[in-house]
Amino acid sequence: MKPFVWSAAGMLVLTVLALGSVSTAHASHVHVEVMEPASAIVGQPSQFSAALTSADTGQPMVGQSVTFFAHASFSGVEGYMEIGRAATNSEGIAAISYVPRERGQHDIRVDYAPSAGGTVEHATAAVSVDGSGSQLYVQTAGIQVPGLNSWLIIGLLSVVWGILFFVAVVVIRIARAGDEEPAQQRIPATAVAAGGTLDGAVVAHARYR
Amino acid sequence: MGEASERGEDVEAIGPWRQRLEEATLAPIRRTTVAYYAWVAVLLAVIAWGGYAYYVQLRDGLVATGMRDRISWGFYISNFVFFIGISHAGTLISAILRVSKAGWRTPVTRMAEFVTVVALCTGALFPIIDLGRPDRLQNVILYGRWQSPIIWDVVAITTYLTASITYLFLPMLPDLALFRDRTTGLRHTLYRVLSIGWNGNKKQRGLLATALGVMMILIIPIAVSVHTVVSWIFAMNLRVSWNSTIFGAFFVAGAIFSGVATLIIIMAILRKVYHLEEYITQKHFVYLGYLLAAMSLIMIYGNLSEYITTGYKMEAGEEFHFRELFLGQFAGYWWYYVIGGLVVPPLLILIPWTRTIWGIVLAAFLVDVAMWIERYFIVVAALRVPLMPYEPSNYAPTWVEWSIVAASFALFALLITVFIKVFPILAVWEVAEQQEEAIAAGPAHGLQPRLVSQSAGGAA
Repeated sequence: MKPFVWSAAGMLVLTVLALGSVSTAHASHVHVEVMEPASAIVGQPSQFSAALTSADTGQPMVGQSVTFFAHASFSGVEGYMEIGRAATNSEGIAAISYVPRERGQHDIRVDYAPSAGGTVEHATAAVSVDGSGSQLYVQTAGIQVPGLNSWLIIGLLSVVWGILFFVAVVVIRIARAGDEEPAQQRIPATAVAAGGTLDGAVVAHARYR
Repeated sequence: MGEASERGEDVEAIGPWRQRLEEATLAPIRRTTVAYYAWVAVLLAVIAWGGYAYYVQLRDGLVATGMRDRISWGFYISNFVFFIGISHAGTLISAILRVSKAGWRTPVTRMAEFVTVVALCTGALFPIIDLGRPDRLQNVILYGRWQSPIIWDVVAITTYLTASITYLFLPMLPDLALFRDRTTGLRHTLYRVLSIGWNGNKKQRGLLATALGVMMILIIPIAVSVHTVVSWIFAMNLRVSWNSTIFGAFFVAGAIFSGVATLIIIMAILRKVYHLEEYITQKHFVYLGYLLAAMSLIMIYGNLSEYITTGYKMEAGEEFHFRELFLGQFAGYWWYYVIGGLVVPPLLILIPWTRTIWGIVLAAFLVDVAMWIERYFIVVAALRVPLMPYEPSNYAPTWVEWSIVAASFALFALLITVFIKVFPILAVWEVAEQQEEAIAAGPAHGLQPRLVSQSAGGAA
């Protein structure tokens, strides 16, 4: 008697859990149901399905397009990411192949938008993915070297632009020096080397030298 | 006795020689030929056509180009890297030769410096053209993050442009004053403003020497940083063929390589058009040719190092990339780059009977074409490698991209053409000073041929 009670209780718990993990959406005319895959393993293609039935007649809806989404988080943005679209077959079931990249619970949502317009019906389900690790690129903090950060770039730029500013100041001083001091005749190296005085031609051009 | 006599003759000859130098520099602003106007009209027509193509791109969006989601960079980014590369001509030729006191540099530094500024202005347009929505450029300023290589690129190019304009302006000051003193009317007013009261007094010369001394040192690390950061735009992506630690050095070497080649071509054209044979001699081409040959050897080494290390490991995707480069879609480009761009040019320069001005110019032209192509396959061939199990994408530039790229070359040529009409083409004071020092040092140290034996149009 006792094993029978335990078995019955176990079955009851499993049924409750199974029901709890599968969500359905009841619209006025359409019934959407997400079907949990038999198994889902990181890096392995899994079959994700959804069934569409008419809420009025209970008959499967054939040839209707549904969209599958998975809840995702990337670079600080959270939301549902489209993972595929499929049309329902003769049994009203649409299926896609999807490769989960992380283990754990995955929220899968299925949307059905009637082609004639109207309210979008959706259903969600939590799918458990087994396997190890993650196949996503995960940004790590990297090696933290003290001082090797954005401030280093800002510091370097400040030095460079500081020097450019210094040169700009020198240019201003050049402009002012033109008023302060008259042009001087520079004795060219050629004149010195030749042992002579300033060559006439060179003197004539000394003004801008 | 004989040597002193020769020096005396040299000193006597420097007056007429200097006059010829000034006339040669002033000639472009004094005379404008019909051919000049025709040339400007052709360039403007090409630019106008490119402008129309850009209008089409703005109107229809980037769908007017051959770029799509998988190969999202193409002609524009290749052209951007090319122009930023040739902008190294000025810095690393002018600044390094100035720092190392290479006397022969003086007739070519001005050209090198304005090639830098013009190439930077042209190249910097292309990331904006590539945006598709140029109004979104403001997002770089509003939402830019210091951690992004894009921001490093924007900052580095802005700094380099500012420094290059400064470095172009400073040594031009005495020559602007010369132009001020030799012109009248509106031009005189322009040069009076630009020469900021230069009269060559002792204090001004001292200050100019200080500013130039600072700039010629500062601009070298800035230039190196610019092309390193441009390479990081690629190397900091998670892509097999861009995963390289030597990309920075490789890009800097490539930039100097194409920069020197461009300078040689521009020198040859300006020398011919403005009759500068007396100042820009075969010696200048040969020296720059040697620099080009040395850079080609560095490029060959860089390529070997890059391909052997990645090929030995052959990460996933690398085999596809190699196959595409060596045997597949890009094989024609890649083999031209290796043979036509890296092997043939140094041979043209090093073999004595092809070491002529035109032989060196041909080598430079081959290098420039090869370096544009190299940038093309660095960008496009890498993006063609599939990151997921899908068929490799294709990229074919549309007429819009061809037109805009053609317009960029026309703009580059137009800016140089206009620059020469307004600013001194040669650094008169530096060339003259160098000549005087050479004469003072005596015939054994002379870097120019003896003045007394020179005729106005005689090449050394």
